[in-house]
Amino acid sequence: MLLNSYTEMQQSNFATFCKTNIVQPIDGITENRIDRYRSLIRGAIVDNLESAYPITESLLTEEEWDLLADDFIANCKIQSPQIWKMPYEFYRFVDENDIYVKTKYPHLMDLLLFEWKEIELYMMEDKNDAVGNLSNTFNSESKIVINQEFELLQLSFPVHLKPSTQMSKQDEGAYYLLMFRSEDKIRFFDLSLFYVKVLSDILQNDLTVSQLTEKLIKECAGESSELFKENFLRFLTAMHSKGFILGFIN
Amino acid sequence: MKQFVGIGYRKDFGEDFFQSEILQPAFIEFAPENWMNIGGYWKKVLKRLADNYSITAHGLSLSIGSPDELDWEFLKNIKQFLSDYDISVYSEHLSYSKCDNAHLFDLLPIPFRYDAVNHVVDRIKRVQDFLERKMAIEIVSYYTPVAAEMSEIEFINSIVLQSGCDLLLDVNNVYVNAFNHNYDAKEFISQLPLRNVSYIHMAGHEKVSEDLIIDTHGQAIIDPVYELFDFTINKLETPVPVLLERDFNIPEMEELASEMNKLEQICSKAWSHVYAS
Ligand SMILES: [Fe+2]
Repeated sequence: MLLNSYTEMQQSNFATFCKTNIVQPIDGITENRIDRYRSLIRGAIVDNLESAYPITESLLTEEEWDLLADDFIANCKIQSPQIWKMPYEFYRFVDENDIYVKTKYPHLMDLLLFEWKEIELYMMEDKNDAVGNLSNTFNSESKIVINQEFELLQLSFPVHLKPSTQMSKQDEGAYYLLMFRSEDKIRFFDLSLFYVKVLSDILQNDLTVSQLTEKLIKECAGESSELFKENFLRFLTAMHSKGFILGFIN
Repeated sequence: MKQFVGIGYRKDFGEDFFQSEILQPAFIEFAPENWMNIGGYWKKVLKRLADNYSITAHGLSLSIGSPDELDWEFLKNIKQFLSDYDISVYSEHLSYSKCDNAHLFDLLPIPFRYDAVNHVVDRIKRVQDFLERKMAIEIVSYYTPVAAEMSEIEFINSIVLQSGCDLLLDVNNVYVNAFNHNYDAKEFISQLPLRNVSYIHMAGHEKVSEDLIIDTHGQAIIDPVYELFDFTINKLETPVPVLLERDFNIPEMEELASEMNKLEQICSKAWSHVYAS
């Protein structure tokens, strides 16, 4: 490398101070001005985190939030050159490290995931471009075309249903959240385990509406098949009108 | 439509921006990091603007002065972005924003040192080779020197002349640096390799104490910076694109328009001979 170790060390010490606030020997600097860099960097990262995680920020006390942000800035080696992706690294940082607030708020990881996925879906590259002309109505021989811009999250706490400040251990369970982008907006659906199964059947099998209905009826003993069929067709119509089903190939 | 003056697009501009009769920019600048590899609403905004205006790209995260290796995957994305939107001007900052394998999202000052010159020159050349185009390097505002063994002007000139890159002259940054480090801005500009200037930035700043100005891009341009701009462009042999940067405290579009009009007027006056002849 053309850079000598002395220069590299000066640059590294400067960056370390900005990240950690720990004073390192740096030659020839104007002492009272280096703090500006620390506050500019902290400001850029914290502003971004606060706009990515507004619910988390308001759940934590100010002190908890500040400590967590400082810990992240000091210790996470942020890899993405795109600042809008940085909140995902924050999520992973909290997930992978022994962080006190995770114990205090057992639903914290679910909440962070929920808030991050909204951004990721909102920004993600378009995935439905290849879809050709689809029909808006279906019959028993139709195939269903799903909107590919979606996430199905399995959560232990209902962070999408209940204010995070009111969450308690009693709320722990299995929750399924379908999130997708439609008309540039993110839509959220709380799904029962049964409809998660319906969805995975739609996603995994290239079946027609009638084949799907039959398969599902076979697997769900106990429910009247007529009622089931009615509910399933209603589900398809609803998901189409919300934009999760893009249309049908007839 | 303006002939010389463009504007840096910010997401906070909102729908007002699309009332193009207000601003009529000659071009629009985007930070590729915020606009590449995306879809949805913002991609539509970008496409809509790219269909109607010529686009320039001003990068944030290349970190040309970093001790860390260049990020070639990132540069591949930049290259794709430049080609997707038919962008001819790509500029970056003469600073570093990644160190010890971590992005910092701010512009740190490179030590004004001989080995740093060699290092940066080599990297600019490699980036230019990879992108198959020249890039413009921006003189950044800095608040403290670090382990300097040469002057700022010697540092900048060596890099520009040895690498053969273009220079993005941010007139406000020179004003801010001259104030913060006690030198004469006009003298500094006169010593730059002005033939390499391919792009100009103009912006506002904030004086935070008796001896310190911070380059915030959050205020209107002040008169002494307009004056320095006038001085600068009269020294250039050929017209270059001029950009108004406004990142914070976004005012009404009319206020931005009046700043842009003022810049356009100064340009038209200085560069009228180019078109008259
Ligand atoms: Fe600039």
